[in-house]
Amino acid sequence: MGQLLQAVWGGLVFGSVYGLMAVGLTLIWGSLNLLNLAHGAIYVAGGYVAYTLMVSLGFSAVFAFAGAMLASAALGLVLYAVVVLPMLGKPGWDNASWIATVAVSLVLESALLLAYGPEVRAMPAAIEGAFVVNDVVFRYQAILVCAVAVVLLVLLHLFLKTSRFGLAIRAVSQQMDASRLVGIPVALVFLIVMGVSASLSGLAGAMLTSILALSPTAGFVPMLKALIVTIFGGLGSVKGTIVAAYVIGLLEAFVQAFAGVAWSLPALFLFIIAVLLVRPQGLFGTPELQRL
Amino acid sequence: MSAVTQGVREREVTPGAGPWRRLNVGAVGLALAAATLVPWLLVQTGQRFVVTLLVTVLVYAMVAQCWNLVLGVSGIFSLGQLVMYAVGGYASSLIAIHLGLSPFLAIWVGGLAAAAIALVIGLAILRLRGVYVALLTLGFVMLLQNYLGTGPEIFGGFYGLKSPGFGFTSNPLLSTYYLGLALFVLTTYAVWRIMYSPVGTAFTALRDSEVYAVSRGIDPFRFRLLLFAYSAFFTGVAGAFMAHYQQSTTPASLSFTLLTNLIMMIVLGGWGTFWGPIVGAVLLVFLDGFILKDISAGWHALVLGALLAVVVIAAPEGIAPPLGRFLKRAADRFLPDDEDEDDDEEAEVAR
Amino acid sequence: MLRVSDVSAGYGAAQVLHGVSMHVDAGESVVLLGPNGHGKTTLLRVISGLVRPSGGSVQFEGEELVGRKPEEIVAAGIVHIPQGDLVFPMMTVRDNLLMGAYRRGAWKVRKDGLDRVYALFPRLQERGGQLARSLSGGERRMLAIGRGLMGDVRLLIVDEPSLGLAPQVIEDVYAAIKAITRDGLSLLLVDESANHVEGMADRVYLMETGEFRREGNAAELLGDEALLSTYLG
Repeated sequence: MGQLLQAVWGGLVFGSVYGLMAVGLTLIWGSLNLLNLAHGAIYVAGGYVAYTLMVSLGFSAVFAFAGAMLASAALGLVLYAVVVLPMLGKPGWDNASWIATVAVSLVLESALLLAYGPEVRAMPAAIEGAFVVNDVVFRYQAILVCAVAVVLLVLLHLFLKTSRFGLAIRAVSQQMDASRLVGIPVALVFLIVMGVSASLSGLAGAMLTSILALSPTAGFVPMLKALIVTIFGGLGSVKGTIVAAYVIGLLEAFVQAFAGVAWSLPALFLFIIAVLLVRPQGLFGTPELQRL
Repeated sequence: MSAVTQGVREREVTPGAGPWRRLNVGAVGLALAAATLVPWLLVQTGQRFVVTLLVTVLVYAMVAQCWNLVLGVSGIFSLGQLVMYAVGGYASSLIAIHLGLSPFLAIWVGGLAAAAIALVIGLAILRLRGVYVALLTLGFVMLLQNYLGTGPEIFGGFYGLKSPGFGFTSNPLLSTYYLGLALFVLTTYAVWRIMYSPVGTAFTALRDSEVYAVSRGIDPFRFRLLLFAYSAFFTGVAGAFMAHYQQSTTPASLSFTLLTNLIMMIVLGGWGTFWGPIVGAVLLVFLDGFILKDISAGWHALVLGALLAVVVIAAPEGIAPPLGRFLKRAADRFLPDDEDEDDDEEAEVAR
Repeated sequence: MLRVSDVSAGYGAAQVLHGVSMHVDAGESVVLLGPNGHGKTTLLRVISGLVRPSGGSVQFEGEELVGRKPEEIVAAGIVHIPQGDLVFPMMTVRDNLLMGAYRRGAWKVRKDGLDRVYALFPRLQERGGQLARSLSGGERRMLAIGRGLMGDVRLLIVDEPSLGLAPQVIEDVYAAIKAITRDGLSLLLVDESANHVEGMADRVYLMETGEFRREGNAAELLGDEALLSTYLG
């Protein structure tokens, strides 16, 4: 029973972080039709920025997280300027765009490798300590991660559902020409989407690397899991992505608890292969319309 | 149909009217002669290292060509070519180890095994849309890597298998190179056949407008499955050849680094073009072997990543097409009339 | 009010418009007639900034529009209701309408806008909470028009409102457009046939292969059966 509850709690924590990452992937996919494979590198960059601010410069965790978000938002804007602006709307965008993001991610990861070296760093927790209820360990850091993620995801959901600009983001992802014709500044929407999604990934990196590990290539696996979440949720559906994040998080935690850590990624892949064979549009995706 | 009408028909086809064309025997002969003689000269002059690089070029060029057929020509978003590469290596090695089959025969079994696996994977993924295919094929790569590394003992775990060598007694390096060259020529011919035939046109049509292609009677699923297995066969042969050449097969043949390197070859050379993967393989292997040999891993990845970014963003057609045009211009200037036809062809092919 | 002078445009190598000129005066209803695929939609897309012309100028109240972004042209008061059902399928009818009030000024008074549109199309109010993709063809057309009316419109551009609709629905749609223009709004409407526009057009242009062949008073041109059958078949 204790092990089960511990797995549930672990699943909620993982799910929260996957949600933060996957929502960004979904937003970018929905509005720009771009599979952003630099998302994992941005996650790691966020982790290193937070590490530098906290460990090397001695700032508090709040500053470190804010710094990580700002820095990765800036990276998102760079990605926009370098990849999206020169290529969007040109023929071959579908393939060339994701390869360009792979290239950016190689550059970013190797820059981090040169700056910080290959060794795995231990990112300190924002709040040390834990409490135990019924044999289940609740680390304060994990509670913080969960709380921050849930608050941000709820805010993002409300933003997209009710605010003027949030509705505009969804509009652009559904009908680009119509969005232009009602006066939505499409370029600005893209820019904001890239910035927001990168900053969420950076924050995920800053928070999760204190639970997992921090190394230049540490973003790859979380990105893959976020991709699985995105596809399970139905590419482009924000609500679906959030639900899927927790389902996948729980699934992973159970697999880890009962089959071992080595099985978590293979199990998730097997799961998503099975899901797509049965329901190719994912959980909340609509068959004819794979957008937000 | 009688030979006479066939002859008449052939003359009616103007060059450049259809994307399929005849092989230029002169140019191919010249290239083959160079590919045969140059390594021999290199060995004679003590440049064995360059020949080992050439063997690597041959193998990666085979895989890159096959992958380009899937990715660039027919537009299947597959990241799973390394699965076929690894299956070829493992199948061939296992057969050679346990059944004592000669590696010269085992490599073909490797190819068949890869094609069979491709059929299974293809059945599962080829009805799905782009991004899903990318993720699932990447999933297959990681699943297989994990399975081979931690699964049944027969696969040898992370250290893999000790594949039997080809057992050349005289001049093993040069002999291996010639074997590789033969396989490369076979693969290249197979790819050429697909790209410059009505079938290849069907694939391009599918990539560019599925609706149109379907309306012209092309069944996308069957065509893609066929191509997937076809390209897997030659990829498997390449993997098997590499296994027996290196006398080892490990899960590292599914590594993400190799995956990005191969994609880089395709993109740098020229996505969807005939020459692209070959030019890209030469470029990248020699870049790795000479210019980037002594720098640290970080700078290595940084340089390659930046190069890839610049090519994708600034010169999306890759290096082969401009190179082809340049060669054609140069040839036009220095070799008027006589050779003109070849060069036309080269430039067109590169396009 | 709107003055198009010598505009040429095309897609890649294909030239669609060959130096067309036209104008719409304040309060006027102008109709462009012409068969499919002869450049009418392209002209509208040039006016609203979706397509950059290769030559010529488009002026709205003396200001040059060529080179401006679509959102700036919307801000100037030109609202283009595109061909087909370009609604936001996965958003509710109400959210679709709200997007029509995206401009900051219009957003402030979005409630009034909704009231206005709902008064014109009561059907949309009934369907307010439904996703736009669940609407019928006629309802979608009404939604697209209603969305266009949410902002501050000075010139309304409507591209083939009758396309693909049942005759009864077409009548409803045209009745609505007539009702809108009664308050002195300028209208530029594109259609393939002359059947529906009688009684609402002040002036008519006949377009063929990217050029205007005839221009004239609506009553005169639309009365000339021989002329119409020559150009529209």
